Amino acid sequence: MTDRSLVVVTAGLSQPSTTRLLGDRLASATERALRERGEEPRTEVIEVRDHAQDLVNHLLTGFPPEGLQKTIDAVVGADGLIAVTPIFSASYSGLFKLFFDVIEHEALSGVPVLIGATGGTARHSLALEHAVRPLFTYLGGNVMRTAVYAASEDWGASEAPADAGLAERISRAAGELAAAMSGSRRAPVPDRFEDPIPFEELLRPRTLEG
Amino acid sequence: MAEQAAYYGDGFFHNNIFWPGFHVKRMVGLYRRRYEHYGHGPADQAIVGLGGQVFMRPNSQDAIREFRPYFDNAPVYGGGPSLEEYADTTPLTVGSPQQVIERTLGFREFAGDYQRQLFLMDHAGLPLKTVLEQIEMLGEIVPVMRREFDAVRPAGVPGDPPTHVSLKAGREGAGAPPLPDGPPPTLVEATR
Repeated sequence: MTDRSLVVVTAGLSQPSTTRLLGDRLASATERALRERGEEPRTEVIEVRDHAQDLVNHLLTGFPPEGLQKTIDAVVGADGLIAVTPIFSASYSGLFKLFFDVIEHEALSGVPVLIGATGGTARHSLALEHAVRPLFTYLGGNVMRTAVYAASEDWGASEAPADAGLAERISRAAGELAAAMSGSRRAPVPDRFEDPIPFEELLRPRTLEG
Repeated sequence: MAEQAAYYGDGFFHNNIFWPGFHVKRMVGLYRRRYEHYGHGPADQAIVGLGGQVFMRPNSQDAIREFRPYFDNAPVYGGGPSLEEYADTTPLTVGSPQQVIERTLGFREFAGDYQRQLFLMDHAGLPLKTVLEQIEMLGEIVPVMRREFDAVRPAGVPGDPPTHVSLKAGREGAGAPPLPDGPPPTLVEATR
């Protein structure tokens, strides 16, 4: 069995929040799918709210407070990421964006990412496609085809047809994430402080061939 | 920039202020390692300079009370962590002259034994009169810091870094064509 680190970033505001609930459901479905593939998941859940002050301070000072650095390390070192946000004003919440604004540009290169969102009505579901997906594409993540949106009406008795629809989407998305996580090992991200680009290389004229 | 300075065998000055020690440590560490890699000499003999920012009053509580409104409205500091948090994580030192001495001597713990120390004295809109008082107070503790740094610096680590004058003399002594004179010595150099 191979250990796979699965990190859930959830930007819900209330406790308990439906965003966290969606994150937990996606995580347990992914854990199940990983185990079926003979992988052992190690899951960590990050509530962005717990780091709200540190995130503002990081943005203003240019460096992370110590506790936040550990959280960022967990995210950029993950084998798979589940990112869930409430939809506010037709997009991810500001708090959610704040977290990913302090992640370095290429730090999520190739990381399989499952995106999810919650909202009061299903009419906002495409915010996942026009706002959340491009954010993770920009960050270099490998964003899963199935994104999971849960509106208020999706939460209910498990035998209700609406919830069955949500369960089906969660299961499909989790299967995609587990497959991407077990498919390949990420190339380690070079530490530019330990392993700097030699100055001769920086001096070399750039050509179209690179 | 650390890599570039190491490549040419130049000294490396790190701003230090506004940054936590762990960041300065890895930047200076990179410079020292690469200085040695490029064959300019051992890592601990590379020439390193650091910045610092201080505000002093004989009584540390007076220093904090007087500096806080400037801190709270400074373009770099305002709106983020408090003065106390910033002073805790970055080189900013607001307190008594003795606290400034101790804090500054502590920089070698993350940067190794280093040669140059520059202080930012007129940040955040401090009035000219206050800045001049601060420079006076700095002038009183610089000789103490020099003595203390000299006392702990291991043998073999350079204590007097190159200046324009010394580099110019070295070059011309080696037969190179004369160079123009540099700027006049700074206040701190003048106190040597």
